[in-house]
Amino acid sequence: MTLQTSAIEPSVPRAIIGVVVDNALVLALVTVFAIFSFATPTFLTIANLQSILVNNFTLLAIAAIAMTFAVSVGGIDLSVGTAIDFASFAFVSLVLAGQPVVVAALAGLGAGAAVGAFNAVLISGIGISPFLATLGTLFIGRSIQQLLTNGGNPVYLPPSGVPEAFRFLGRGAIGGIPVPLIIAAIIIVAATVILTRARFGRVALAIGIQPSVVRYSGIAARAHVAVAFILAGLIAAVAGLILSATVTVYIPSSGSAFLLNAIGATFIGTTLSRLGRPNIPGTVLGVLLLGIVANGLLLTGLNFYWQQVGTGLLIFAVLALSFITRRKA
Amino acid sequence: MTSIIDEATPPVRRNANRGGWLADLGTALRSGAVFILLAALLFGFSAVEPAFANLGNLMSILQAVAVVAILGAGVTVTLAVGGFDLSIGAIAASSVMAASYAMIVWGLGAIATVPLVLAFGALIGLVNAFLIVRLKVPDLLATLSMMFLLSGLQLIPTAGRSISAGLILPDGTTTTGAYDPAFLLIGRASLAGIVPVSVVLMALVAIALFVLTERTRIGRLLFATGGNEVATRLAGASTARLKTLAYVISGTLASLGGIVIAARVGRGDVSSGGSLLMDAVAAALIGFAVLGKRRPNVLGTIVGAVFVGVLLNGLTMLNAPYYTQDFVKGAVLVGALALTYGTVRSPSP
Repeated sequence: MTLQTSAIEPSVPRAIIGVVVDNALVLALVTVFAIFSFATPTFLTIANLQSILVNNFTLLAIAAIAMTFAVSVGGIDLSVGTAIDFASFAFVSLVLAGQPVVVAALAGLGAGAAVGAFNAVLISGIGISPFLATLGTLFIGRSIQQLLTNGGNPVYLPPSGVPEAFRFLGRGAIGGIPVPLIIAAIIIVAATVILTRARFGRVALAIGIQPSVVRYSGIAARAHVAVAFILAGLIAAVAGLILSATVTVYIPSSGSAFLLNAIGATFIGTTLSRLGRPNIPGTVLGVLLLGIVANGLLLTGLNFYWQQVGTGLLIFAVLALSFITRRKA
Repeated sequence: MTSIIDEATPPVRRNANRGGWLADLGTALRSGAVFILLAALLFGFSAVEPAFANLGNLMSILQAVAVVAILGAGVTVTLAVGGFDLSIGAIAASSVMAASYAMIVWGLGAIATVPLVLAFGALIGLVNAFLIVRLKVPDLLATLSMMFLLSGLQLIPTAGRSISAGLILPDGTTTTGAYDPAFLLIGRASLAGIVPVSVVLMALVAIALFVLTERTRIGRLLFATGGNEVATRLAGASTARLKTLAYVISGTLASLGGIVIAARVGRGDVSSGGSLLMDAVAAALIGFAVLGKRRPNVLGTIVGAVFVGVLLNGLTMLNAPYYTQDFVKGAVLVGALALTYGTVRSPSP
């Protein structure tokens, strides 16, 4: 083996392949970016790039980070959309009832955390596997929303009754940077610190890799799993607050639109990372990739259903690329 | 993430040392719980609403759950090999479109359409298997992107329109074909005027897969693959082929479900198949609790689908609002899971 590689393959291409493997996600991102810059004249404009960040990136990034926490403990959270919806419902209803925006926002975060806590009870308390437990939460959550809204009627805020702070959360800007983007950036940094620098993050990733080792090390694995799911609900709730502040309406079950893209982004990030573990930078790049493709395909004037085909093909292509390069390296 | 029924699942512990007839009774009750509940439901609903218990209504319940049960049987097989197929809903939906397209645009008859659509489902299953087995893409991710791909692709031939007779294609031509009356019989006819054809199909699928998974060597190897893939491979079985088989079965059954839907509705509706994935998965998971098996099993899946069907039909008869349906599904799912996992666990060590 050493003979073969040293005799036939010079070491430079191997080094290049190694670089490609380590940065497959960044390369995919650059490629997609370049293609759309050439294909459509409007793609590479400040206005459009900003629109990608605000419209295609922020909400999905926050939802995908929530998903990353659930995936990091070896689970999955099919109810991120439910947490988004519950937060949105509590927030909009309380603002409509004349409560201060801060109180309503805290209640919204509480509602999202409650969804996470329900999952935590099912998973850590009863011992149901995360996929099944959160599937149940998804069903029950959808129905509770319909019960609360008489079969799925949206809760509108009258244009006159929207408080300034509420509008600021969704549409405001500090120093020219949109508030939702700032919040997303804070969450990205905080989540990165928690997962890579804090003890909790190390334990969470260890549970995801080898739960029995964590248990036998005398660490309360169940408690960590529970916290990860509550955290996932809480983070998803932030996306719910921003969503409802942007559109000034609560639409039942609208959060489930984020579920599959959040799973896709998380797994793109996981698969293409060097160690194959869930990680926040990977998830964020995955979201960026999905967002750029969605925006670019829209600008090329193709029909909306090509966007879905594009998303599917993209995930295929990225995975195939990662597989082929990894095997050669 | 190769296995959904992951390591977090607590190991099964028999309470043998606690002994006594009380423990035996508890075990018996638990393994038969779904059947006891089902009997209680049937009894309760027919007591409150006499129209519930007539044969026509019972058949309509079975007809309503037939598609979910057929798809759920496919889910059961992929769960057995430790995998998961997120694309079944999309396969069923695109099979509805494919069947409609074959008959209305290409003017094919039922004899040609049915094998064509089944082959389509099998092919998608094969592609899934290729991604998972050869390219080692995680199951969830491979079938998720397949789901995206199919739900977009199925709209392209007709530019997003539903397919019915007299459809105008994107290039401006008007189609001349129509649904073959023989095809519609699959969804609308009844044997001897009593048993709908779709229920017969469901029963055939159930029997065939039950025999395959529980009574043959292949079936045992399927479960062995899900239990410990490396050990199964070292024991001399081709786990690659077994997994491929599971995904092909899952894809084919999903397209069969699509055929039944198309034959019942009689047009290629772009929005069909929306909740099929979650319903089929729920049926398969409720099946875990049936007979106390605590693992995917075909019989349990069918019982799970029927159980949910009975509950929804009865509640509808009692004038419960339609939006309680998801709540019922979720509650039954969580209840069944708690029954499966929760009660067997002794206090944590």
